[in-house]
Amino acid sequence: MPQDPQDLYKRILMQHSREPRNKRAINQPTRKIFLANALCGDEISMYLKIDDNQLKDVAFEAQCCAICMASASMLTEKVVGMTTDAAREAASEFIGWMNDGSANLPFEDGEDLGALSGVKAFAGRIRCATLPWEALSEALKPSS
Amino acid sequence: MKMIEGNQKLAPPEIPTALQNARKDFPILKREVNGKPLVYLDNAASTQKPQSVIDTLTRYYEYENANIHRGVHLLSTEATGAYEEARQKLATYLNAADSAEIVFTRQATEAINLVAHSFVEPIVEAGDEIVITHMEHHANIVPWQLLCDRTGAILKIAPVTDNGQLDTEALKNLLGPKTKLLSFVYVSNAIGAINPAEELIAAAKDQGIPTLVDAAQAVQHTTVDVQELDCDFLVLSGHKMFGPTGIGALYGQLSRLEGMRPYQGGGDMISHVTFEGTTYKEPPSRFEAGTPHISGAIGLGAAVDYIESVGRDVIEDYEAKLMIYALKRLDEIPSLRVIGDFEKRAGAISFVMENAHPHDIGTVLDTEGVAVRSGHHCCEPLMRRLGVVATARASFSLYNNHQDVDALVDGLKKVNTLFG
Repeated sequence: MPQDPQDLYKRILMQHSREPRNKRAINQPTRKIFLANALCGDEISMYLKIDDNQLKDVAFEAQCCAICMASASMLTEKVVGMTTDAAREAASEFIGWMNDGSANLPFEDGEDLGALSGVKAFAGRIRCATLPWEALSEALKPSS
Repeated sequence: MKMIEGNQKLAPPEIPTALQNARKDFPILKREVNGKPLVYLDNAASTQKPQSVIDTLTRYYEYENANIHRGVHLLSTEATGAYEEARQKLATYLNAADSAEIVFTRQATEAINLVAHSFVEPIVEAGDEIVITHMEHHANIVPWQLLCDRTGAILKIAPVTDNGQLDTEALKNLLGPKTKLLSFVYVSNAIGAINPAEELIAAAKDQGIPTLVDAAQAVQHTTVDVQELDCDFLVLSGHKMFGPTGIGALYGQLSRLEGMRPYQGGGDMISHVTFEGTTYKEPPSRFEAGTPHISGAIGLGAAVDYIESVGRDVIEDYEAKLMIYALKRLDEIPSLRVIGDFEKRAGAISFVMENAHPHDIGTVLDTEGVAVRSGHHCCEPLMRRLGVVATARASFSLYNNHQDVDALVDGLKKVNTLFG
């Protein structure tokens, strides 16, 4: 099946990629995690400010492709305000969704994260979309 | 590089007679990718295989398969003959004085590790130095870092200039009485720069310093003559020169190889084994423990035959012209910047674009059937030195033509539209 890059680089995804939300460091974060994709060299630092088990602020810094950038930007908007348990669950569900065949997001969302569904047709790019969520997951591990 | 003016027509390079049928020799080039004809521009990662190499592998397994240096039966004798004939072909290809100077390895990486273990480690002491360059593939960095960890030796890095050239004078200044080896890349896989191998080897030789040349990206593009270079060691990978994966070679001057300890222990590398002690065979067998990649070596021999049938001068001349054409056409895309500025280039053109990450460039090109590599090309230190995290890289081979370059440029224009 011919692949159309337009399916991959949807308008909403490009907006997040060009003007990523919360692409900044957080001063004295509760958690900070650096993660890299050795395959392509993408790098992301995820910052979390946690208070009373709730994500008060979520931000990131990255040197990465458009998919990774957009996914990270969407992530910050999605999980801010969640409890740590809910955010951990969201990360796990998102990563599961990217790697399975289903079209629909496993959780409620506006239209933003759904724009990443186009990535699923490009096997080599799935890790680009999941990298920020892996970083979030790692940052929320009880021991980290 | 100058911009192409107005409607000035760019003449694509003519395909020489010896390469007229080259595309037909590589069956994979008939393939479609994403509904488009495959445009394969990832030759620095691995080249495609001609039918003659594929047929050689098939024939070996269908008619000749047996272990070598073992039985007295016909098949074993034939397999041994074919394996040793492949060694001779590679020796002739590199103009080695003796086929015993060719050791089959898994790839260039293993050949470098072999030299680190068997040649350098026994002669190095804490505080001694190994000199490499900032342009090296990880395969010519990490084995030396591991060696330094084991021995207390120090890794010295010859600098690269802002435009991606090796600073040869700075390299020469690093050479001294503590230097136990100079190991450098002949042609950079990441940016296509060609280093002045003869000059560097001569400078090392003046001080009695042994040299290793990583020729993995040189042997398929140009004539490499180990006697003319006068290097002590040279390494290559078969799959980057139209041969199978999993086979490569170390060239070592016989006088060096003869003095070296084994790399791995096992069958086929020994003269006699007793529990009191074991004696080892002469090179190259000493360094080929266990059953080797027999079909791979024979396939690599067929690949050498293929290159020789075209002629290396023809390949070098044609690819140089194709590269000039590609550089000029890439100049049409204003947001694109070619990494490195040097007169001598082979194989690869690395570039970045203002608005699109190399990974995204690679994906969009893939939807057009154009295969390029994006990433750090196993050269993270070089990427950082040149101020980029990653690049997109188009790398060429003898079967590429100007239509491939045109497809690349068309694809990059789509990238521009999408990310513009």
